[in-house]
Amino acid sequence: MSAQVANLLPLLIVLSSLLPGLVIFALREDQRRLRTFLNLAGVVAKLGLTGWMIYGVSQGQSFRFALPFVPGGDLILQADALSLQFVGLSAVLWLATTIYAIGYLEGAPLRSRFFGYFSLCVSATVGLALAGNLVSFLLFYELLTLATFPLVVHRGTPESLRGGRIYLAYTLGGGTLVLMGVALLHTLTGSPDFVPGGYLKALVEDHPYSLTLAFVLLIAGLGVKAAIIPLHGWLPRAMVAPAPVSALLHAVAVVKAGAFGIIRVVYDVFGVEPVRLLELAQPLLWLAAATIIYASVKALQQQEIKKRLAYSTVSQVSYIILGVALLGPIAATGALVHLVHQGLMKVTLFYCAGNFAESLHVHKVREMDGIGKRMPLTMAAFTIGALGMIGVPPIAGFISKWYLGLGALEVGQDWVLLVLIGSGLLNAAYFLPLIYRGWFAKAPAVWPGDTQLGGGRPGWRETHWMLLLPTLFTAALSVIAGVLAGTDISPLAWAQLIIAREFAQ
Amino acid sequence: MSDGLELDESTTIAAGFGLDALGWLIIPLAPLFAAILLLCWRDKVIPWLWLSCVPALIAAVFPPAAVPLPALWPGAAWGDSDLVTRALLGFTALLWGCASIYAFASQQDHPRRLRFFGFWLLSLSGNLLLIIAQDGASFYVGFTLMSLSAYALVVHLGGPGPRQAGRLYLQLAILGEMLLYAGLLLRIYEAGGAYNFADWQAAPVGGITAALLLIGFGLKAGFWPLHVWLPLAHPAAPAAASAVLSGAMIKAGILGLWRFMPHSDPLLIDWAGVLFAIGMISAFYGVALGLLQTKAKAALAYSTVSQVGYLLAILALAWQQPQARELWGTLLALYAVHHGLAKGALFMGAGLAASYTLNRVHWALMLIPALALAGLPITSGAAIKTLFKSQLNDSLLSQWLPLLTLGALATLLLIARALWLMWQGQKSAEPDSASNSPNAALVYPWALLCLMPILVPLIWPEMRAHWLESISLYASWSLVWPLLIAALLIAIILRSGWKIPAALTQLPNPSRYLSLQLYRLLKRPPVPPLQPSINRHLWRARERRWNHFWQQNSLTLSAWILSALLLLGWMNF
Repeated sequence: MSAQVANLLPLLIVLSSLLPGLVIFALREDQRRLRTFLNLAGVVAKLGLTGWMIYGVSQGQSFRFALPFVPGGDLILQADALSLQFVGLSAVLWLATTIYAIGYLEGAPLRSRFFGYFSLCVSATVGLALAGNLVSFLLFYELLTLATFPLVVHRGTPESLRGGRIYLAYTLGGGTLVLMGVALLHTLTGSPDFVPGGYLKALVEDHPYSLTLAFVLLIAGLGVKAAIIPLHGWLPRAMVAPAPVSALLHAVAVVKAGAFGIIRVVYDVFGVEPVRLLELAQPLLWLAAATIIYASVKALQQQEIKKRLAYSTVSQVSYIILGVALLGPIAATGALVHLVHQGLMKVTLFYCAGNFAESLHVHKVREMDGIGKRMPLTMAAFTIGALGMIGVPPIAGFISKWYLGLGALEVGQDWVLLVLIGSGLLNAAYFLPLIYRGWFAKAPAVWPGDTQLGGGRPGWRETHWMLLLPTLFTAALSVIAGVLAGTDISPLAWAQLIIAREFAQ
Repeated sequence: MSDGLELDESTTIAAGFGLDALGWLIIPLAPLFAAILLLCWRDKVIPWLWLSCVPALIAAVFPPAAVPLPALWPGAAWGDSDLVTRALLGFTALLWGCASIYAFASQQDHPRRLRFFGFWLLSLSGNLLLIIAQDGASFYVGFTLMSLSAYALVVHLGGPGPRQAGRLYLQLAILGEMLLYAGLLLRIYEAGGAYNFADWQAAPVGGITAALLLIGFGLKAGFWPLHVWLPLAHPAAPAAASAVLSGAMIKAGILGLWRFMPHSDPLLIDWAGVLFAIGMISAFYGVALGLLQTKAKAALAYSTVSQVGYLLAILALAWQQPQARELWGTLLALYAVHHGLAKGALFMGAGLAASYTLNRVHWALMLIPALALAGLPITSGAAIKTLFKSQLNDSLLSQWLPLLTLGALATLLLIARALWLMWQGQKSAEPDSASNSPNAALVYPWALLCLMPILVPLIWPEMRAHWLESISLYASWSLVWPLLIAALLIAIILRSGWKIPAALTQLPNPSRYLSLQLYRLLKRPPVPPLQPSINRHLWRARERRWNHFWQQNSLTLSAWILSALLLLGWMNF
């Protein structure tokens, strides 16, 4: 009985946001309370179920839900340690972002449409995380693309429509490549479940070219969403989306889906050993390193806060790819833990950018002068996020960089250390001026547009509480994840658990 | 029976662990806690901020047992009861505590005082943490917190001078951070994945690692040629901040080198000669440039460059003679305490002299740390100079012993220059501020620090032993005669009314220029936009042709590609 319930859990987790989302579509604009209730009920249900599964998996329990889908590949939802890392991140950030979005869109039109797609987007993300084989992964991957498009173009301005079109062109193109890669692998062996260590080891001898081609197709397709150069062009343009969407896009939903997919492909489809035999890791490593440096330089050039953050995402997500491509357990720990840490820090930064824009109409870097005096709490959160990105201890980003660096040394790729140093310096070069302006520059006599949101006084009433609270929450999590990295419930501990299972083979 | 015994043991260990852990945890947490109170109660908390140094002072006197803290970042272990830790912890807490009271009294009306004290507390927390850290990561956490927060102290007064100084400080601090990050990881790798200093002491160090660490920590310690930020930043800060910057924070660089490098290592033995030379160059370079300064605090900052040179020389000698490491460690600790307290007192004194009229008692107090730095008998300076001389005499570099005597002479000249500049400042400001004497909250903490060069040898047994050696007639005479020569020189210069040529007082400062250039470069990076220039018409035409070619629709194309792939799979490549 309980085993049956346990096997339904992955499905329930997906439904916990899908069903409220579908109901929300049917709501009228003015049914605000019911909509908020549905949103929050979904969030709480998902958090509870995730907590249950995390406990279960840490105890060695397994959760697997299967439906017949295509020959040789069922539709499988299952929870392993890796998928729960991602599900946990998205559940926590969905909570914060839902509250943020409710505050952000207060009084705006078309909220039912927005929250409907918002819930669909989270369902797709969670489904993608729980997908148990490549076919199911592909299904949710495409669903995610479709669910996020209406969010990107939510404002409906010509600019956002153009951004949305570019987004769709890139991601659908990427999706096609993934489809080809999956189809190629499916013809070779079908689509068995993801297993630690991969299931293609037996084929390396006979089909090296097919496997290489499949790997290239998959990485190229997933690399679109993970924004590896030269496939990153859509990300800075998708910045026209509303702040909570950007936050979610950059921290969990789309960008991370690509990175997560690459982790799955390298570890659970191909496996470390075949990737090494086929010599596929080195080019990926170079690509990741190039992306890190190139995007940092591009970020330096941006004069808009959100654009600068967007290029910073391009750079930071490639840390994950870098860690994966190093193919060592320590570097992999760094990659997996950065999946969470980058999410926490980047979501904080985007919330802050949204707070500045909503409260004071500050969009440009040079408009941030003296903002710390008017919005000290938001600016403090921004400082934490930005310093974390640079890799300043004891904020979470430091732990990731620490493990990535050690992992690079462990596998003898010492030059990666130079990439990390260079990226750290560049990060400092494009984030520190913002912090300097916020705290030390002289505030202007009048802000570009003070909306007096939430009272308009420095401190707890500096902006709407629904905008401020999620910001402080994720900023605090970024610090706690770094300071208490040694505890059993930290992202680091969970990443080490995953690695212990992945590299046990 | 045995079960019961085990149980007892484990419970006592657990209880002891809890208390010890709390004892160490509270040291860096107390300032952070104070920062939270500062946020809530603002001005009411500022007079009591010095209390956040008390846990550290208590731990320096009664150190709890060392503890690992597995819940924190990987490898975290805090606390040790060795001499270096206790000495640095004690003097750092004392200096910060006195400076906190002084800062409270001097910053009362400043509009941005909350920001100042917020960063002050963060910096204090970092400084204390790096001293008690027993592993690389904790050290790095404290080091970064201290370095970055201190930026706000440097730029506090505002205006172009502090802004330029702050910019250079921050640029070099970030560079140092990154070099240390690399050095730290390499060191962990060399030590086979161990994080704690005890294991690092036995692991040999590679050339690149050593260079990274030397430059990274050197940028903080500020010895020649990595000192460029120091003479700009230390005078730019308010007096209390200069005191902790010059007295306490730069010691972090020296402490880092001491902790990160192995006990005995062939590479370090090879490099020791060069490092000793760099230290000595720094010692005299600091004096030479310091004498050319026209502001008292700038002269004092160069004196710091000079004194750090001696600390580096001590480090080099310790690496060269691993068998005498214990003794060199003692000397290093004594020297750091002595210089930190004396320099802190002088900087605060310079701050007082700049804005108040000082009376004779004040000047007499000021003379104590000044003469202590030069090594006058009965002060802590004498104890250190005597110990340094005797140990240098026993080392491989004993032929350089006369340098120390010359150094004492040079130091006195520089300190005299700084005091004279303070005195001149007083004379020029006297007419309109005749009744302007400093209040008690400014004078008492400063006076306490001024008396430290005499009090420390009395209350600290390690220092007392060497101090007793230094008051013998022979040792005293060897300390006094260079000072007498210096005094004679000073008298001649004062009598003749000789002035430094104007050309020499305004030497060009390439580092400030380069820092500005870097800032401009980063503000507008000269990177091409990298947007491919698209000829829209051309591409539109191609698109039309392409669409024409695939008139049916793109489904066909996808179907073709898919079937090609299926074929590929079927043909078993």
